[in-house]
Amino acid sequence: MYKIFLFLKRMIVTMFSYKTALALGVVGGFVGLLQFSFMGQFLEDGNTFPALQQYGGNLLAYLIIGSAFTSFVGVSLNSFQGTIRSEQQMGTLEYLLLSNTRLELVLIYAGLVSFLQAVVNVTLLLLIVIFVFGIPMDVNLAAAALVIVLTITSLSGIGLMSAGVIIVTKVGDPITWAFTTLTGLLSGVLFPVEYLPPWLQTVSWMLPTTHALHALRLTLIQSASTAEISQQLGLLLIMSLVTLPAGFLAVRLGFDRARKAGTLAHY
Amino acid sequence: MIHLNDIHYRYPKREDCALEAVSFEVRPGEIFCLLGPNGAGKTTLIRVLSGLILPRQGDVAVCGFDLRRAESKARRSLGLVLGDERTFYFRLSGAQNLEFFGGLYGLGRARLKHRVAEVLDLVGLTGDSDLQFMRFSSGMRKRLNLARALLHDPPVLLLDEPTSSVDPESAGSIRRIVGDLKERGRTILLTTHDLAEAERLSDRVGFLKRGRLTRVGTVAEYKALIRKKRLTIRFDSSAKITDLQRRCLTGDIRRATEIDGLSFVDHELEINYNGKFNVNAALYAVSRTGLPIASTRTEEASLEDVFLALARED
Repeated sequence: MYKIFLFLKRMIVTMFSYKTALALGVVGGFVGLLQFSFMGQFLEDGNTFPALQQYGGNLLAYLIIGSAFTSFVGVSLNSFQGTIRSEQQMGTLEYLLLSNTRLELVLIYAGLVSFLQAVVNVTLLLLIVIFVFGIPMDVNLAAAALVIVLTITSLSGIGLMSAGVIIVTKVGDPITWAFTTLTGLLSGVLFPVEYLPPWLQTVSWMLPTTHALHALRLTLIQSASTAEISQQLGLLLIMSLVTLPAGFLAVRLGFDRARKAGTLAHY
Repeated sequence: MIHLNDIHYRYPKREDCALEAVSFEVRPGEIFCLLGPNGAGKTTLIRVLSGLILPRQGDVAVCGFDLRRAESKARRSLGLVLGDERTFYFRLSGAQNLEFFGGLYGLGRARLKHRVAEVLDLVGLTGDSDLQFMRFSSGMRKRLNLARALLHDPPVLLLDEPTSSVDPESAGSIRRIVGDLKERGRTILLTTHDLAEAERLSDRVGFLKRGRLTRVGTVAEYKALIRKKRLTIRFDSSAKITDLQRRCLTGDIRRATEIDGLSFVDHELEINYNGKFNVNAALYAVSRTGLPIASTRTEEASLEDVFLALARED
């Protein structure tokens, strides 16, 4: 726990040392939210969205959850490789590896801090959406948390694989690129998957992110119970059990390969 | 304390070996200095020793722990200072950086606080510990690097050019700390390009050239390798020395006796020679010029002379 605290402290001290960026980030986030709100009002003006009925029919709620989900996907896929890249650029990676904290744990601690940051951001966003913009949401907090945790663990496996690749290739990771692009396009982030051509819908439902986002919307808008989303939870659990060990293996292989090549600190 | 046996390493896509059949040991409590030209493999060797590079062949043991079989125990016995000074978090203070790294080394909260204060004091940074790292001077960064290496109190230190690119005062302070650490029983492997530093600090010196450890010995043993000496004659600074006198004198000395080299700059004549040098013949040539001699000095070969000779050797 103390090590996680140290990573958290490092993040907070660094974040607050960039005061202008912090202020701009807060303002930017609020402006983005306003943008969503106005766009939602504009599109909903006299329109109904039959495809959104299963999610309560509110477009803004639909979009906000899609956006929040994207941030979890981004953190899961990018935080591990981002940690490696930034430590390489700082020149600190070798010293982290010399400590008796394994590389995998260093990545997990740094990742946890990023996840925590994302959770705080999304929670604030949802609170504003519910209490400031008055968007009706019926939240099953426990079920939503379970979906988020399983989404993060299942995608973290892919994020770890990508980190394993980045240790060796330094830049240019096809895994994250493909996954981020497919999620944005096919997982129902900005529009329901029913609007995709049938063959793309088949591809979409093959993606775990489509199931995860569907389940998250149901838990946040319709207060769906864990039993109602058990199929999605099972799928995410299976994916976590497959991708996490594969991710850790990829990190170890990448690490050993970089040590053999003498390129651990190169970027 | 450090044992290397038959280490081979080659960087990918390079034909030449970065390290070839390197074997030596560093005894408990000694300062072992690695010398060698740029690209000789000194930093690669330090990285191999700390497990940051995996050699293709050979064994490394630190404090009896094999780096392959007991990697974490071996690492725990090591403190590392690499040459690059940019190895901290710039927005964190010196103390916060040490707290972070110390925590990863496994020091508990209570011990860590005490230990951070202790090492900051040891390297003379107590007063600057709350300063952001980005505001540290090069000398302070080097000292903080040394402090980090000492946090977990390792018996072995690997110092890669710990005084490079710092001013003489900071370099002197780092050398004093290294000397103190030896007094406290630490075993130290040091690389440097500062030969005076190597001469002053080291118990034994290893010479690395094109990835091969060509020689290991004490500074005295190295100096004995070449019987080279230097005679320096300083003429009175008020004397006017013409170009003709300079040319005549240097020519006379070259004809009178066998020398390795000679330079005559301002009022100082420097003659490098070996066993076949005839001092009397040289001094006679000097006396014939009639120039007033202020002082004469004879010196043994320096470590620098030996370094240059070994670097040129095939």
